Amino acid sequence: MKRLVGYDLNGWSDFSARNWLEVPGQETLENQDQVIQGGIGGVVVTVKESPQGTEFIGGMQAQRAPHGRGTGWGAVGAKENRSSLLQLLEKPNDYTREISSALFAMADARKATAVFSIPDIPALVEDHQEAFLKCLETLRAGRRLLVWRPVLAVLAAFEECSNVQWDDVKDIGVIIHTSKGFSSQRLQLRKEKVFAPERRYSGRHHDCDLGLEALWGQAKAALKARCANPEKADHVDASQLPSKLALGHEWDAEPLRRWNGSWEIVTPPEEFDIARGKVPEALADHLSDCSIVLFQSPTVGVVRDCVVQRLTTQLGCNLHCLEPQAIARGALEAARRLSENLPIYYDFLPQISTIVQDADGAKSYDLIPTDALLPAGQSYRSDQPARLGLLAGMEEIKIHLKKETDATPRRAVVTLTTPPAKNTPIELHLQQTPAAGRARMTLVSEAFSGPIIVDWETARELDQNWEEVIESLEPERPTVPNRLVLPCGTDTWFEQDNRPGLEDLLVQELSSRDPKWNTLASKLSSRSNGKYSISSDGEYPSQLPQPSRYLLEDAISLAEKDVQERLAGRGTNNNHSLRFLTWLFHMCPDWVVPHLIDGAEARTGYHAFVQSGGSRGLMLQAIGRTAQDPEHQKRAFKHLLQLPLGRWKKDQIACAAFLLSRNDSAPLLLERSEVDFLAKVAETKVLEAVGKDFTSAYIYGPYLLVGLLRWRLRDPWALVVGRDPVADDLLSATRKLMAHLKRRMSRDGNLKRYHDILDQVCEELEGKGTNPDILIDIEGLASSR
Amino acid sequence: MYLVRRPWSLRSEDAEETVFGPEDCFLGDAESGIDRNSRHTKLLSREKRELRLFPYPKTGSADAPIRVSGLPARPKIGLEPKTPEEKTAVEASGRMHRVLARIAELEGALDDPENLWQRLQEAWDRAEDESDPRMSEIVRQSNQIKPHLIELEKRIRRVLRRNRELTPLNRVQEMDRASMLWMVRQPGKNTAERAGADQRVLAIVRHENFDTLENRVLHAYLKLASHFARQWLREHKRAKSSARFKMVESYFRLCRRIARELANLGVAIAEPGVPANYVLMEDRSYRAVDEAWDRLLRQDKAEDELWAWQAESWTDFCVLAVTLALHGLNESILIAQAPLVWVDEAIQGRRFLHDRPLAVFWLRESGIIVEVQARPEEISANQFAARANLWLRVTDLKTDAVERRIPVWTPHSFNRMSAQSEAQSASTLVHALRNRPGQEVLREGLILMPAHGVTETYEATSGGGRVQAIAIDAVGETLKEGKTALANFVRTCFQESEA
Repeated sequence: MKRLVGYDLNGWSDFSARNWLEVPGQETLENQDQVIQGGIGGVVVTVKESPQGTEFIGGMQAQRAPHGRGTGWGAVGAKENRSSLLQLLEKPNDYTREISSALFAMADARKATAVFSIPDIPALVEDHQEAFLKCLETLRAGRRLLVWRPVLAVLAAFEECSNVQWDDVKDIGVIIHTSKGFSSQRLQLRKEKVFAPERRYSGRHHDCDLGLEALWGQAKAALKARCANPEKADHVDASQLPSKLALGHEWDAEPLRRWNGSWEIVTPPEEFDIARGKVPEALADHLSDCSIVLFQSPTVGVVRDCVVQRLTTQLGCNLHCLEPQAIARGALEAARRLSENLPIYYDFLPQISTIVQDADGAKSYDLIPTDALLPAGQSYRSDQPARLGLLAGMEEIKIHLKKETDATPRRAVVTLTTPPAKNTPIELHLQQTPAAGRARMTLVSEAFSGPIIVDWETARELDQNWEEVIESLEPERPTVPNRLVLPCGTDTWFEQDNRPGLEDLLVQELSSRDPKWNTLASKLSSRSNGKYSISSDGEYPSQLPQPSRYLLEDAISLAEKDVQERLAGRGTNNNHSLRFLTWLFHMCPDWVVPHLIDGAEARTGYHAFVQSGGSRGLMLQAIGRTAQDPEHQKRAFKHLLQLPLGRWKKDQIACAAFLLSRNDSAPLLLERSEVDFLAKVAETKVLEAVGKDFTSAYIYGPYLLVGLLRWRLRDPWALVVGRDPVADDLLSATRKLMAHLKRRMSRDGNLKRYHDILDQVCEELEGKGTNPDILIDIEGLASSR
Repeated sequence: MYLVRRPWSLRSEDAEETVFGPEDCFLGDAESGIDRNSRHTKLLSREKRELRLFPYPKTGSADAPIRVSGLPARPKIGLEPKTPEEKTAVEASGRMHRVLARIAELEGALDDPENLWQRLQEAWDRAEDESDPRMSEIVRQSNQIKPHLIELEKRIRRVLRRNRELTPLNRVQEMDRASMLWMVRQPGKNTAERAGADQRVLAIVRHENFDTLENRVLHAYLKLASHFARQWLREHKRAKSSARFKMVESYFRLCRRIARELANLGVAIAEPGVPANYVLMEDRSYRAVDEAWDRLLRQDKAEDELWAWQAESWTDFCVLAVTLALHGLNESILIAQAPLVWVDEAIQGRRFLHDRPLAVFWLRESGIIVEVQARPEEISANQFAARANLWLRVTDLKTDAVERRIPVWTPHSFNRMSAQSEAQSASTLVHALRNRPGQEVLREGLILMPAHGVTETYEATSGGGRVQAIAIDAVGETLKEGKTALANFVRTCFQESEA
């Protein structure tokens, strides 16, 4: 036979219900439900004579004990020998032994399946649940479960309220009489193999003057008034008589021992009218439209009738009143279901949230799905843990936590004994069983030798509310280098220092039968005071007179014709006209760009533009300068990205760098894997420069790198040191190059400029760029060499 | 230290010269510090003096801490008495078991503390009927372990042991290294020659073997259980027609039969305390047997201690009897009771401990409060002089009269005491104490002594002191009559008080 026991320890009227009873001198009675009383106004006493020295005794023996009943009883009467269960239950963590003894007095749960009732009120924190579970553990119960009192009331009602058609019931309201008033809970009824209540929200508590403590106070005052000396009536306080009177139990008279050892017979008042307390309206509101309302109270007789009558008036519906021992009986039923693996009830899990940061910044992350509903006793383990990142070298992890049951958010700090050598992802897992104490939160990562437990209790309470915490964690977004626009000016257009301007050259060449496109192209590609004739966006200088513009347009038409002729197999036999067009940057006619890409893709000699290997560089750089249509840019990237790392030379890098730095559309075209590849290229090129003399070719590595950072237009947190391992690699490569340059700076003063730019590159990699126009400086450096 | 043969005895004897025998109570009056570590228990103490109780020696005689001779030795479990000494010992053992059984019923009664005294009373009422025999560990086991034994009998675990034997050549199935070494050392050119005249060679032969640890434990259990069962059956001869008797009897036969089978199979008997092997831990039936064996061994061991401290058990029995007698009064209401703490292993013969006062009753109509003070502490000079370790303290609520105290002596000796002579001696003490100055009134006294099957009540008065001696047993008619006499005494005490 499986031993089953259900406990209802409330400090007012304690009961246990179990399925066995030892009979002195006979065989144990088995499989018969028994209700054992634990006393009215329960107490726990400390006895001196026991095998363990002092021992705690609860239940009926404690209630009858002379311990703590006043000095009239001698040494055992000392107050500290008697503790009220009500006080012990308020701090169960400090009094596990005492509470266990009170339970043991009602049933020895060794090897039994034990269910303990807990109040469904917000004041019952998870800590208390753990303490109660520990009490059951002390009793060495085989299987242990805590179940909410309203749930047990419903389980008991299935048997007690046999006139109710449970098939028709959906919502059940449960009112439990408590020390301070009433607690209320709404439960839904689930119909499976057996009826099982479903708990979706925490219960509520309503303070009022009809609470048991208030009744007890009135009863005590009434009894003291009947003593010979009401001023010295401590013996009434120490007795169970006030509890008996308050709960409506009938009794006749009882001799109580006074402080001086003499006796006084105390008789109950003839009538005990409970004070006019009002039932809170919130209680009625909470339970409105329930199919059935149950009421459980430790009171009996007249007191119970009076409380029920007041509740009925306020609620406007009939109450189904349950016996004082109903909760214990419900707990026994729960134990029976537990042992037979039948559903007892379904419970929700109070939400626990943490803060995670992603591309959109910091946000609250719920560790428990909102609709999680679990059968009693079953534990939930998060299937989607919160994923966090741990940076290399970090010595502590700060985790922000918020519980639905706790108003104050907390910050748990986990100190790592060995900081990880590289960035590592960590997962925050959660495991929780309804009504079984604190959730177990663990951090799991490759970087740790084992899971690390996050302790809610030691976490520091925060002054801010959850929204404020999230706001304070919102980090500044990493900087994005500005788009590069090569400026234009009129200086190169007109004669300067006896050198002909572009306008002069255009006039000269347009009149010629065979224009020298090379001269024009060279003029276009030259700068004066850092300014080109045409901006990289393909715009004229604003002060440029209209006739000059017409001249260039005519030249463009001519060059277009020549290029078309060439494509048709005629025209000039060199790329000068094409070069002229490409140096117009975005002013270059769009139709030219696909041909440039074709040229870049074609084998040498198989395209009109690429008759020799040297022309391929023009193709690639020209694409970088001219491609502004996203489709063309996409084709260009496709071509570039199919090249293996080894075939990336200066021109390929320049092409990619130009595209990325001079267009807003180009970075958006890249996927993450492509970014990773380009980053690898940039890293390789940066590292190639280490240990070698500086040439302009090596400026393209950082150029591509910074251009690539513009991918942050698509993913704002991409390529940021500490969050993205790729960025870490780029940073370390750049730092190596900087170290190399530093050694050479003493010999070549110009290198300092380059060194400073690289320093800014590092800042950009960290997402804290100080020079938004860094690309202009890099371009300037590239052009100056 | 001085020795005292009876609690009320006015004569004390020198410890060096006195030899206690079966007719004596083993009491001593000593200064608190003297021989503190000797084997004794403290019954009462006041100021620097204490009343000590000495244990009965297991062997029947001892030289320390006091000199004892002529006592019966503790009989072995299930001993069939042959000599008169053995008969006395077995009878004493039976009496002890009956007393312990009544005390043990408290444990069951404590399972529902609300109805503790009522349930204990019911159990004691049942004990008056000897045809309804007492519960004990062996009764429990004969119910719970029997199915396991029946199951084990069908499938006694066996192992195949490999032995090296000279085996006919045509039977050889397996040879090991040692067999082969033997073979090559034999003279001859081929196997047939080496096998010699009777054509046998050394080879591995497998034999069934039952002498495993679990079977040895089973065997040891069966032996011990049959001894316990035999002892129980002998102590309950008057209950032959009861179902419980028949159940134990059949269990006794079953144990003996299986034990014989095991002996035939060559299974040895395990020594107590052998560590359990895998089978004993994991096989359900063997585990049940091992646990049952352990319980019986512990009981056997515990009885050594209980034998020594029978006087303490007797006091506990008397404490319960007096409390039940008060509880049984029509007008009595229990208003306070010190929690009774049950101890699984007896501490110097005591199975339950308690603070003081043990129980307080309100006799409503009489207007009296009666406190049961068992093993009192902080006692008055008169209480110490009376050497009683159970007292009733009576307070009359209707008058301001001085509190009355009634000593209850619970003397225990191996030989039966005479109610008449003991009551008379005690009344002399009461009379003497009445004349001593003190804060309490002493009028009555009560002696509760073992009846040895013969009920006897005698009331002696001496100069206003009244002492009643009641011989009571823990079972049957003597229990019934003793309880009635006790109830009458309690009633008369309070009627007098009313008058």
